[in-house]
This record gives sequence, structure tokens and C-alpha cells, in this order.
Amino acid sequence: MAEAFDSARHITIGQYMPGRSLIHQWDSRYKLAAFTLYIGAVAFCQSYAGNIAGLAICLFTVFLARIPLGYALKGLKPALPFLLILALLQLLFNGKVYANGQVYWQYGFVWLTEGGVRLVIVSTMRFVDMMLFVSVLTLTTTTTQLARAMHSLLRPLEKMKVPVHAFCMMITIALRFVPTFALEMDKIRKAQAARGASFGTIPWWRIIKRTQSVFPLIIPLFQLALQRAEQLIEAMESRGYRSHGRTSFRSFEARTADVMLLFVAIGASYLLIWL
Amino acid sequence: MSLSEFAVQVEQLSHTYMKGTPFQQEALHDVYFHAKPGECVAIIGHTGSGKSTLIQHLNGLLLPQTGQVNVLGLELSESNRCALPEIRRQVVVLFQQPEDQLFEKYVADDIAYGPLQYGLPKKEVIQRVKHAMDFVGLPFETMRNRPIYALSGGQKRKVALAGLLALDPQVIVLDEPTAGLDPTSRQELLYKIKRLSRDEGRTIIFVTHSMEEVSLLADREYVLAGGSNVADGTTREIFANRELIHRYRIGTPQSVELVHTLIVNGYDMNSSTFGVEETVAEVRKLLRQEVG
Repeated sequence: MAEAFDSARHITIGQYMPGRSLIHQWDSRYKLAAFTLYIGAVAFCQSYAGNIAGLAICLFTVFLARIPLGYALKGLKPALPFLLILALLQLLFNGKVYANGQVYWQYGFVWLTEGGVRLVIVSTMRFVDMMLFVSVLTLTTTTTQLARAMHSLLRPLEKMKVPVHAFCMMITIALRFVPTFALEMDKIRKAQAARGASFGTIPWWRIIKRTQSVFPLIIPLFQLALQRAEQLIEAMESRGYRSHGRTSFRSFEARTADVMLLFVAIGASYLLIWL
Repeated sequence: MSLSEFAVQVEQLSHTYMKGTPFQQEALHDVYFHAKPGECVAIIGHTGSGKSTLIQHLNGLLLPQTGQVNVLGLELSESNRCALPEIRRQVVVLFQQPEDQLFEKYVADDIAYGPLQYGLPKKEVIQRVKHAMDFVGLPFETMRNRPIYALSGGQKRKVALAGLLALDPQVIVLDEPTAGLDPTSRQELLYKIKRLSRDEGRTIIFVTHSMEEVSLLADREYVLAGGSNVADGTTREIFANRELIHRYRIGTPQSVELVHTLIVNGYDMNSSTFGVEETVAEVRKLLRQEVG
């Protein structure tokens, strides 16, 4: 019975950590733009050097935001199995597609090539970078700030009849409820354990049995999610929520430092792509 | 006192949530708690006093970070994880809003979940489900094939309780069992709990805000505040301690309130009076004195 009831502890995405660091105080519009640029740059960066630089920038941001490094890295832990499987699949089956450079080993359709190995390393690093960036962004920015930043950055699209506001609202709500559902999940897991459930004791190859064993978690969680959604709708409507013509309590005011930081970010992203 | 005298024994228990993260928070500090077999013990305290954390230690959902937890003669600790299935079978916990944990489509299936998890033979499971349903007041024949989503809140809670009773536990832990129920369902549930304790001799530990419930059910109480013990004793002792009641804003039953008010106003009464009948008797005595 190896079980721990603390999903909430492993989820750093969507958690806000109050603080007064440089990153915390950065105007969220500029911060969002800068982080989007970084993530874009990391996505396009093909070389080892570029990715190492990306990782360095990442860690430097974590340091600037005064987030304990261990805590930021913990968020990666649940993603590790996916990363490994993804890396393995890419290593085995993508070699032929990226068949530039030396072929190390070949058997049937499995090709291990230099290009393939590079792809695996680069894409794993990319993934880590992106997750860290998103963690830093959400740890230092409240969801309301984030949604408003997104709203103001995407505003031009409203002219093209894109429902920007509804879209931003959806994202805010989704992010806001990640930790809530993690806590809810812990509660249900405990309640089921208290009446005899033991999770993770059925070997993985008995797929049907193993799937059935999580029904006691998944079904109540879905019920709660639907209930919550309904409550949220009612709460919003009873407070007169409309999607158009909304004003906000606080208005953005960019300071020079905010703009400077954005330029630093643009420079760094440029560097990443060309490295 | 020897270990075997208690069904549940907690000594110097401390617990910190999310240890090693920026969000860490101490929920329990040097807490002790004892319950003898067959006793009905209440845990009282405000939100954030550590009640819920404490009861999660009683069946090993949380394991002690420091301190000892001994349940039915078994030590609960990281190194003794193999005792957990046995302990969870003997000690069940009914959490707040237990109706949220029901997941099967039909009533009887959900109640049978626990016993089936422990691998009991089908025949015995059916027997236990029937017994548990009859006990909580859901007639087996008519209710077993009802879909759960069609039940009322009070009925769902009965299903949740039956699901635990089907495990035939020795110790039953209830976290605010009557919260959010209408008065009738509430009365009914309290009566069921009383029967579990008095007639079936099971050890009952319950968390509550309601002193009416305490005076109705509990033999002894523990009062927690800010993650530490602040008082414990028999129901009579706790209710007699006016200073304690005021300091921790324990909501007293109306009968106790009346007695305390009379004492404050200079009437000579026994301050350890509680319960409706006793209070009535005391007030009668007082009236007789006044008249005479």
C-alpha cells in the first residue's frame, strides 16, 4: 500500500505564490508577452547550446522570482513518465525522419541516428524549459492578472469577431480550478481508502481491472466538477455577469522597468533562436 | 496505564502539512487523544483547530511525523505499513459530505464496495449489505436497486454510512456527521450513532460543532484549538467549566446556557448540570425553593 495523499503538493502549475520579487511586480501584460516569446524561442531552438542557454535563463528567472528551486522542479515530477515515454518513442521511431548525420544502429524500421538522438535531447530539454516557464509565470502572477493580460494582448482580435473575452474567461477558470480539483481528488481518495480501496496495487498489464479501480475516484470527481461548474454559473449570473462591456477595477500602467524587462526578454529570445 | 486499555491512543502527535514547501503549515502540535473500547468520544474545535488532521491519523491516512498512534494494539507508523489494511478494516472514517464519495449506480453496489475490496465471499457481502442497509433505515428489498442519483441528501448520507458499517468495524470515526442535513435526518442519524455506541458497543469518535450532539452522545470530549489540546474531560466536566466555554467560544446547548445564566444572576445551582431532563429537574428544585 504505497500511497500518498498529496497531489496538491506536486502541482505547481496554477498555484500562485505571493511575493514581492522583480518578476512578481512585472506588469503582467509585458510579463506574458515576454514569457510567450521565450517559449516560442525555446520551441524553435534546435541546437544544444541554445537549449542550455534556455535552461540557464529559466533557472535565472526562478532565482529572480525567489521561488525555491526544489519547489519549482517538483512540478516536473508528475510529467517525468510522459517525458521518458515520449523520448523513447522519438528515439526508436523518429530516427529515419531525422536521418541527418551518422546512423548508429539499424534494425528493421528502427533507426538510431545522430539527428534522432539530438531530437530526443533537445525536445526533452524544451519540455522542461516550457514547464518551468509556465510554472514561474503562474507562481508569480495571479489568475486575474493573467487573464487581464491575455485579454489586453489579444484585444486586436476582437475586431475580427473573435470571442477573446470568453476565451480568456475559460482559461482563467481552468487554471483557477487545477489546485481545487487536486485537493478534491485527495479528499475522495482518502474517503475511498477509508472504506477499503487500495490504489496502485493492481499490476499495469491487467488494464481493465486497473481502469476499473480508478472509477471510485474519477466518477465522484466528475460529479463534483459538474456541480461546481453549475454553482459557478449561478454565482456569476446572480452577480450580473455579462461578457461584453466590462470594465476593470484596476487599470494597467506600464513603468519603464516593465518595458525594459520586455526588451531584455526579446534580446534573450533572439539569442536563443540564433545560438 | 497499559496499552491494551485503549482502543485508540495518540501521544505527542505533531503534523505539518506540505512540509518542505513554501506553503508549509503546522496543523497539530503535541496532541494526545485516548478512547477506550466502546466509548463515545467527541472532538470539539473551531475550523483550523486540527480536528480533521487528527482523525486522519486514526486509520493511517496520515502517518505520524512525530509522536505515536496506537490503534487496537497496532502501531501506526511508516515502518509498519503492512498493518494498514487491517487497521482500515477495523477503523472506518466517515468524512464530511460523504455523499460525494458514492460512485456506483445502485445503492447496494456502492455499499458492497468496501467488503468486496477486502475479498469477502459473495454470500457474506450480501448478508452484510442487507444488515447495514436495514440498520441505517434503508430497507434492503425496496432500496437496493434504487439509483443513487435519485436519492435525497439524507438518504445518500445513509448509503455512505452503510458502506462503512458493511465493513463491520470496531472503531467508527465521524467527521461532522450531521453537517448540512435537515433536522429530521439529523435526529435520525444521531439516533443511529447512539445505537452503534450503546447497543453494539462500537467505539465512536466524532467531530462536531454542535454541543447538543455532544450532550446527547458523548461520554468524553477533547477540545482542540490552534492544533493543540486545550481541554479534555467528561461532558459534565467540560460543561461545568464556564471559563473554558467562554474562552474558546464553545457553543453550549440551550439547557447549559440557561443554567449558566441563572448562576451568573446569583441563583444557587449545580454548574455541572447538562441535558434537558437534568436541567428541568434543577430548575424545578429552584422554583420550589423560591416559592417555599
